[in-house]
Amino acid sequence: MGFDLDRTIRALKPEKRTAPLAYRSAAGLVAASDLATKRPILPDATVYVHAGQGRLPVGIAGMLRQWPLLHCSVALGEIAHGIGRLDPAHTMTPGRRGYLEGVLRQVPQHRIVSPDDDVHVAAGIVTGVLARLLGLPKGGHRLKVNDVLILLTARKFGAALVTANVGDLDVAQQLRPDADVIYYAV
Amino acid sequence: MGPHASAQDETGLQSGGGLGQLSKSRLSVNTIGRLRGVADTLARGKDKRVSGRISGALLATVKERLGVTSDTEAIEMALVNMAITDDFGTWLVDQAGRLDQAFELGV
Repeated sequence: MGFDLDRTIRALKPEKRTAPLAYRSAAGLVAASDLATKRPILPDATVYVHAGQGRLPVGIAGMLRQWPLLHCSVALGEIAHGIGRLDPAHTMTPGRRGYLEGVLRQVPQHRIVSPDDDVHVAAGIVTGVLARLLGLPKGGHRLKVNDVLILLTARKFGAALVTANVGDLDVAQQLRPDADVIYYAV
Repeated sequence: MGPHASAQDETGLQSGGGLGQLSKSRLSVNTIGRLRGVADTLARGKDKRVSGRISGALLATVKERLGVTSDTEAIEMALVNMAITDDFGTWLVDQAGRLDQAFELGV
């Protein structure tokens, strides 16, 4: 394993990132219909939740049924985080836990991909630049580390990330525009 | 296409950043065992010869992930990986209504 720091810095050019980032309008974001051919898609953690809630748009549900899927271990870890957060005394916990456990048990193991050393280093640089340009408080960038790890892992494996998290991933994608993201609204 | 261009090749993997971008971590023992099992079933009759030029580094990476040394076995198991039916997406969409609307992951 290991990483190539020089190549990552050349690709991201953090020293040249000084212009403020602006959130783009929905018209400037990629929709499923913009992708001409089927390609692997990688769901963000919220996709698994929205599926259980029946909140996925018809187009995204159709993609999940028909397109090749990859799953990122970071997103699956967020599902597992949801299990840990459940209040044992809450009446809704058994049902919620049953669903989240079901998702993790059903994910095909051979379709799981994980960030490697290169992705971790690149994600660190990207979140650092985001923290500076967005004026996040110290430690605030940690909230976005998982999002960027998932985005860059999808890119590495040639998959398009599917997410409803427009706010965080729109700005991250502006620093890595060759990472494809399919946004949807719920 | 220039040397730094990013594109997808027929393997479905990003080719722009070079093979250093590919995961070299080993698949789990269970996953490799499942692929081997399906390969033993699907690939019993070896009635087709294929040839083509591929990247040696790509082949080495696939062998490392699968823990195999034979070119034939690596190619066979990679093909099996794509041949295995994966109904997870359909299963997931069919779970609609199993989770209440108020739930949030909290991440």
